[in-house]
Amino acid sequence: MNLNTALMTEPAPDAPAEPLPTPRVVRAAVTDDVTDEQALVRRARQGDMGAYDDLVRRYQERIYATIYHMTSNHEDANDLAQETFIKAYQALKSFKGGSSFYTWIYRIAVNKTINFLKQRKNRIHMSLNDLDFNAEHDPDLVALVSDQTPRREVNLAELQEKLNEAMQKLSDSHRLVVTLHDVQGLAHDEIAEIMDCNIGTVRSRLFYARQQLQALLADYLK
Amino acid sequence: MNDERENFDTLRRLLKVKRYEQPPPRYFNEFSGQVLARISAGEQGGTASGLNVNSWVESLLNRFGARPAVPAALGGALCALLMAGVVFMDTAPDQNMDSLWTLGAAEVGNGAITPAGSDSVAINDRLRMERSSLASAIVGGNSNTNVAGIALEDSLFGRIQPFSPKLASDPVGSR
Repeated sequence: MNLNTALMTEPAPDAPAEPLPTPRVVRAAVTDDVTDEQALVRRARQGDMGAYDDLVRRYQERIYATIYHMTSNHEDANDLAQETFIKAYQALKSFKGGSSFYTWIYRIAVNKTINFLKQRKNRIHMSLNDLDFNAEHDPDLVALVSDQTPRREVNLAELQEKLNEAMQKLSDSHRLVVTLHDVQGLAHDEIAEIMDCNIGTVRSRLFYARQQLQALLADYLK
Repeated sequence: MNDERENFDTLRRLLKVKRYEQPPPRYFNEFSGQVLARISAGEQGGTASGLNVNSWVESLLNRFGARPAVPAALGGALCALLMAGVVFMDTAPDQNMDSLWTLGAAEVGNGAITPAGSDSVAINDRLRMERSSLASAIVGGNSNTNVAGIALEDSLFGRIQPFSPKLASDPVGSR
């Protein structure tokens, strides 16, 4: 397997902590979830604020995380995430159900963030969230800090800052594919639907973004 | 090739740091409530964003925000217009004053004005007085103030005396 293939294929999934459920159970769970979501959307369109509250709670973490990883600023992510859900509520009547609500609201969030970043241009101001305490116990991250870096005294906070700085140097579209795929674990076809492009474009952007990040973070990857 | 493959694996592990970035505690407990509050506020009059503007104005502001050169150029043009107006206003009274001064100087030269009136300050004071009397005549509509014998004109606002600066002395040619 050459480098190009290695960089363009999806990474091997981590070993699950529990045995995977049988396919029939998985399909039923997904179907129930979709049905539940459709019911919530239907009720929200009729003015049921409780239903929309459930929708917000269902996707708030993922939407916020996407925007935060794109902006590296908690305050901006908070404002944009709220505005995403507000705009989604106002545009509910135009949601025709061709895609899932999840994909639709992701698209709103991405468009709002991209427009915001265009206005911000190069005036980058990072306001990073703290790392969850579990990060210090993640074996991958522990190995990174202790063995893989030439400067052994570097800690996770510094790695976090350097990583965010490198991400901010990517173009918006390249940062987006890295965020959606490598950070949030979305599949290529989901990303293609959110970004309104084809899967080949997603793969090529991901390949180029990873190359750029490797160059920017060379000191921390050896 | 092996090194590059390893770098990719290391990059993937490094990117896991991003997954552990979390907002402040209890942030998401209040998030949906804030969203719904803003939606309700928007339904009661203002927009959900808190700005009390129409959506098309908001989209216009967003568009200008994305392209700041356009509003900057409009602002510059507006400032230039204002400056031109100020300059014009500054010069226009001076021209009037210049013409009045010329008129006054001509009448001084013709002997129509006493030596006391030859002083430029005195002439300006007299002009100011005449103007005020003319202004009061126009406002009061009193035909008895037609000192200069200028024909009054009928108009929708009553008989308005055309503005004609008049010196206190007899006009030239009236003798």
